[in-house]
Amino acid sequence: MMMKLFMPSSLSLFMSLKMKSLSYSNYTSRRMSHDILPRSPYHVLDPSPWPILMAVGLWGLAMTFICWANGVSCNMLLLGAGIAAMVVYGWTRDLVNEGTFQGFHTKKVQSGLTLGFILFLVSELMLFFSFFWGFFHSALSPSLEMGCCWPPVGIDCLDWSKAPLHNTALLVASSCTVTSSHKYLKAGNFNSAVAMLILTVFLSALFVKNQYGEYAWSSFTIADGVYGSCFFMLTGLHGMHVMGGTSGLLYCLVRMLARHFSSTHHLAYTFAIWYWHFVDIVWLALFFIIYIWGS
Amino acid sequence: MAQVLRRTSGVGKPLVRRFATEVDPNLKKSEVFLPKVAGRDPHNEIGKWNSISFFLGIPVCILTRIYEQMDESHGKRNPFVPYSHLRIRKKAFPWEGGAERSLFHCPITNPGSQGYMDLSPDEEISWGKYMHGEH
Repeated sequence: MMMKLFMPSSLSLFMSLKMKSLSYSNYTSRRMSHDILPRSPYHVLDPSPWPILMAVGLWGLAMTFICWANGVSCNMLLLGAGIAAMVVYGWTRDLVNEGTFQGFHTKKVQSGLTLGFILFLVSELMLFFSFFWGFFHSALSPSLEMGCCWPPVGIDCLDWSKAPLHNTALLVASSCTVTSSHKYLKAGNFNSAVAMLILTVFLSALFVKNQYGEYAWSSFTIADGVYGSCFFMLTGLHGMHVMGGTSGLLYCLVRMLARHFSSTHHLAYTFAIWYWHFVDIVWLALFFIIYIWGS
Repeated sequence: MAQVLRRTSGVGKPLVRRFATEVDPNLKKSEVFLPKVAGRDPHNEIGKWNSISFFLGIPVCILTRIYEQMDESHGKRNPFVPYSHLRIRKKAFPWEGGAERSLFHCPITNPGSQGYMDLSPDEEISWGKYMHGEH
């Protein structure tokens, strides 16, 4: 105790940590990552329940959807959704704690996370690629039943120069505003970064509202032949991605307001922006291929 | 003493857990090191993206919205023709009325397999004003 008064605070902290780990060695052979000093720039994770619980929750959700679609009683709905929601909260909380507050996200860890997210974007690209393949399969060789023409006989296509063009402008503008927000963050101007991010979320909300309006007034449905199926599968899937991307941007907005991000380290925000640019590029492909070429 | 130890590379590093990035809060904003990515300075890029957003992006959004509002053909009923490749009914949707109504069913513009259907009481509340030309 007397030694502590004469030691620098950092050295006394080191001494207390060392003594703490020495005292544990008599009682347990397992070290938790917060007890020992890191020996490498990699992040060795503590045991976590989230992956297995997420698997259970997603299984519950999938089974519930299948039961509902086939008219079977689906009382497991709340359980599966509840577990998944709980895991999303808990896993995200742990991730934020490890990265922002405990400092485990070194440059090596960041590069690993970046590679993982790039692979995820590639998998999303393949998902849309498969539905575009289905569209081209039918559109390039229209069958006899639909009149050997595309769009099929009886389909009143949406005018691309009206709502779809406005939606394109909204998404492209939102990509510009989110880029501006990112530049503000990198320059250290947090207030302007927050303002541009709020503008981005507002533009995306307008997009979702417009798409809902188009869906509500459309003269054809998903049950109207292969045109309806392709159109609503592609635009519906894109709409769900827009809503997911907006959720990601809102999550980053909350974290930015909580000052989790620095001007040089904001990996979650970088990923959210990449996802938003991906959503924008997919919409451009949808606009030019489905709305303009396909009509 | 602690500050000296923290900044010394040899002795200070193992004593305190260091985060991936560490900015001195007392440092002035102009002195903060900003890495130039591909030779681009974040301070210069801000003006460019602000100009694109506010002088190109937002005006185009407003103009396209005005052009969209000029459309008079919104919500018009097309004549019903019983094509075999449209209004396919192999399996009903798992909600009430799913045999003829999709998720975003519009009773004004979406006919059933046999033709346009009369509005249900619930649909009359939401869509009645468009049917009777009150909107």
